[in-house]
Amino acid sequence: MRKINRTLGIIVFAVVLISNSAIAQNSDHDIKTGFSEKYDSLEYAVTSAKSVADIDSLILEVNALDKGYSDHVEILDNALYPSSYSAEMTALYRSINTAEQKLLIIENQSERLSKLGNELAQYKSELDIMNKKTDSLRTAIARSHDSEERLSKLVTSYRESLERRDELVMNVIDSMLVSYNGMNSAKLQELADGVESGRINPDNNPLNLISAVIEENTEYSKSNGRALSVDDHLRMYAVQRHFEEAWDQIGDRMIYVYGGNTKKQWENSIDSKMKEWRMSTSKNMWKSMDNYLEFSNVELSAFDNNYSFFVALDKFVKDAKEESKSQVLSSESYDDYKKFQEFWSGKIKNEWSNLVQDAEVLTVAQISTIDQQLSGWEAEARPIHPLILILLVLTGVALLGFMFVMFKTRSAR
Amino acid sequence: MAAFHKISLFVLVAGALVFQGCNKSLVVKNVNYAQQLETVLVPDSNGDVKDVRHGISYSILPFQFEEFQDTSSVQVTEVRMIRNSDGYYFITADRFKHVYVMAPKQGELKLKKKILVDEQGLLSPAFNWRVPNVQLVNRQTNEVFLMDEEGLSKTNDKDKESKS
Repeated sequence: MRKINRTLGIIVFAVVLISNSAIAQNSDHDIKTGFSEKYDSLEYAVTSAKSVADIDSLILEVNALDKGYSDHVEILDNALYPSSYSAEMTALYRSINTAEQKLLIIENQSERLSKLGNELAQYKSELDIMNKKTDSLRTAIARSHDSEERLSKLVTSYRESLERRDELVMNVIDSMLVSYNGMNSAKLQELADGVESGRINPDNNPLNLISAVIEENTEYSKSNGRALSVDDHLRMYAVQRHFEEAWDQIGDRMIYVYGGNTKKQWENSIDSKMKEWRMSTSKNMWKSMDNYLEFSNVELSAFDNNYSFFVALDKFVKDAKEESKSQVLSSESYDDYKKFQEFWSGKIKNEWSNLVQDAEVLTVAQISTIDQQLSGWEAEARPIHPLILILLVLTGVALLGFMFVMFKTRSAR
Repeated sequence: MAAFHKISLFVLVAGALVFQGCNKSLVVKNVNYAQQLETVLVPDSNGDVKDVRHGISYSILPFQFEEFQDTSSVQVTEVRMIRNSDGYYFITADRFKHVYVMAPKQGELKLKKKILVDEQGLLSPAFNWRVPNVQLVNRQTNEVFLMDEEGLSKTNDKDKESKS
């Protein structure tokens, strides 16, 4: 019996010994070290991830880490004190989410920029075609010895061509505005690095396109001659203002990205060209407005900017209203009013209203002020109708007759 | 006169009792000193180790002398240390044959028990805290030893302890 017990004891001891050696024994410290190493490596990988695809694969690894250490939460809670396992994992998941959001935005911006590159190339090609067509139309108009009807058709085509060209220019700057406005500094730096390292083709530098667009528009503005109307000049003025406003928003970013080693030169060059374009379109627009008013027999005092234009309009209406007070029976003042009203309501407030507001030729408050003055002018200028005069005279005569009859009747008594 | 002596004696005894009561130190029972995770310390060139987290520093050289009878240079690369619920420190290192159970005293660690665990020397030891014992794992051989300040636990297949 004792022998059997001894044999059993040896067997049990052997089984315990074998099982002890078969199961790999871990130290808690190793668990903590292993977790920390994997955690740190994942944390580093998350912060240095370059794409959403990287993040997606890291999410799988973090899930695996979480699953692999979920049996050791107690040990890790002690090891990581005053932090805890769940706090550390939450922080890792949070940093993954943040990195994913950031990369999504960057990738979205990259897609937009790539699309913008294609769009700009397309715009450039369309602008070249449009420039050729416009140039040939302009030349044809200048050399035209054809009939008036033929010349008129050429002018209409030229104006339409310029209008389409301006639409194209607006599209160019709006596309750039959407792409670059709000771009964060990390993305700007990434793009600038791409340009400097040659990854981005210098031929696709949008600054070249911007510079060319400004130069060409200035040239068109200077050389359009008398073929264009106030509408055209107003549109060109509005396009310039819109282009300049957009450039003010994104210019610094674009020069930072694409300016390379000549950032200051780019800035000075574009600013100087922009100024020339602004002055040219402004001069042409105010001059054409003045010509139109002169042609319409509305003679305002001199104006060459938004404010002086409003002052001239206001003074004209006030003076005309004062003058109307002394012309009760004359319709001359009322004719002046009607001419001005035709210009004001027909053109400023109707036909050109969008351009007037876009280019801030007049503000809403200024338009409202002139409207009030106008209603006063109308009241003063409207002449008394001749029939009313005849009625008044007849009434006076009848009254006098009645009084004479009454007087005679009393005398007879 | 006898009454006066009696009163004086009573006052003296009462005063002594009150004095003793005031002088009695505050004692907190059931303190658990257990360290949940072992500390792995790397000695500096002087053989000193410092556990910043648990606030203890000492020289490893006395232990090294016990094991190798040599203190001419620091031969220990990593010191493994854990504390049990009674506050004893369990200390060992690579190639040590023993685990040293040290009792903290004022400005010193005093040997409570020297536990023999491997005649050949441990190759990759690690401590775990497994209530109420300290577990020593020899990661090289996957051997596991449970111990307390008195030595190897009875649950171990063989007792390798030897008193210092």
